[in-house]
Amino acid sequence: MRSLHETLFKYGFVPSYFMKIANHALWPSYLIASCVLAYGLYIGLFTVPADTTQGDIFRIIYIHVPMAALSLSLYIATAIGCTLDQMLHLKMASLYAFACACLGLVVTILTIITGMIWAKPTWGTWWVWDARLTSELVLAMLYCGFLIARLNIKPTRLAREVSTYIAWIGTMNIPIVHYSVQWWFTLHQGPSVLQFAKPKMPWIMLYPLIISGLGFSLLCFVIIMHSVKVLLSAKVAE
Amino acid sequence: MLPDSKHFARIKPIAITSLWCMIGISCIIYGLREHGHLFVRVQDIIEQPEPLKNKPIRLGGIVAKGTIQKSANGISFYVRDHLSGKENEQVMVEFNGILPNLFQEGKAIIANGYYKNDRVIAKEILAKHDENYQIPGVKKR
Repeated sequence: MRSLHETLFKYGFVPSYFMKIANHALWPSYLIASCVLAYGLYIGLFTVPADTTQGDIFRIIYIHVPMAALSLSLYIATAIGCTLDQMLHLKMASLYAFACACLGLVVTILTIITGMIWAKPTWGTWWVWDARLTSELVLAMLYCGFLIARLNIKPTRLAREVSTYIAWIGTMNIPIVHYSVQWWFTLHQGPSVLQFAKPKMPWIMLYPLIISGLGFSLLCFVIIMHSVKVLLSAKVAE
Repeated sequence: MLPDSKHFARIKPIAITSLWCMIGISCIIYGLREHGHLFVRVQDIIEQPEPLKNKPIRLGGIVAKGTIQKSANGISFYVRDHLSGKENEQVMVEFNGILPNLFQEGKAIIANGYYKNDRVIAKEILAKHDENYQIPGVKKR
């Protein structure tokens, strides 16, 4: 009888076992993730009543907030993957980190774009250099720096080490992004949901956000699995 | 396979270097903390108006109720502090241009312009939305 962490380790980090799962479970997982996401977005975009002051444009929250939360968590996942790679010399961990960073860059850019689409009709401008927006842009730059180091430095052993430095130093940007709206006066509003207090919106608006957040997280998880599967079979970015 | 002291020794140089870099960057950000604010509060203008005179300014605050006056030269209103809540501390803002949809009495704005003759001549007004979301038909408590 094997313990749970050994089983998890085997299927997560041993390529032959990982491929066994990935070959069978990938497309069903895509189906489940898309169904959850589609359900959450359907409620959020069509059935929830519009916000009193903002009108229908508020519905972009159901994409923007999950994306923003994921852009931060994927960076932490990248740093953890890099650390496991450096500590235990696990090639799979470095592939996870690479996949998380690629997806994280896309998610960060989508966060900024959806935010800008919301900001123009609400605030009256596409962009201001306030603390929250600037630190989110710095996060995108950190992802870029990580990927540039990872893809261009030779030999690859050195690339993995240098990108670990970038990932570690960049983690200090995560609390700055999260607390920027409380530390400084910004145009961006304070947190409505991700805080240790009562949510600042009624339950009927909140539950689609939880479902779409779950859907986006599942989808990201499956995309990372798929990327690692492709990276393993193609032997790129070792 | 759980990590032991050998594995931690491998990341020691990375951990030490990153920690020192983080401490350094934290010191820079802590030193610049007063410059991270996007806007100046009404309270700051009332306490120390001299250094702000005839200079570009971004003023943040709440549009005071019953002070909006429209004329041929645009719109003027008073802004009060968004934190202190003191009704008597107000600064006049003049603006000629397109207002954002969310601009209304009692809501937060940011006025971007010049501080001249004890008033802000705004070139741009931005509406700041707060973190409260509300569905129609529910009275705000």
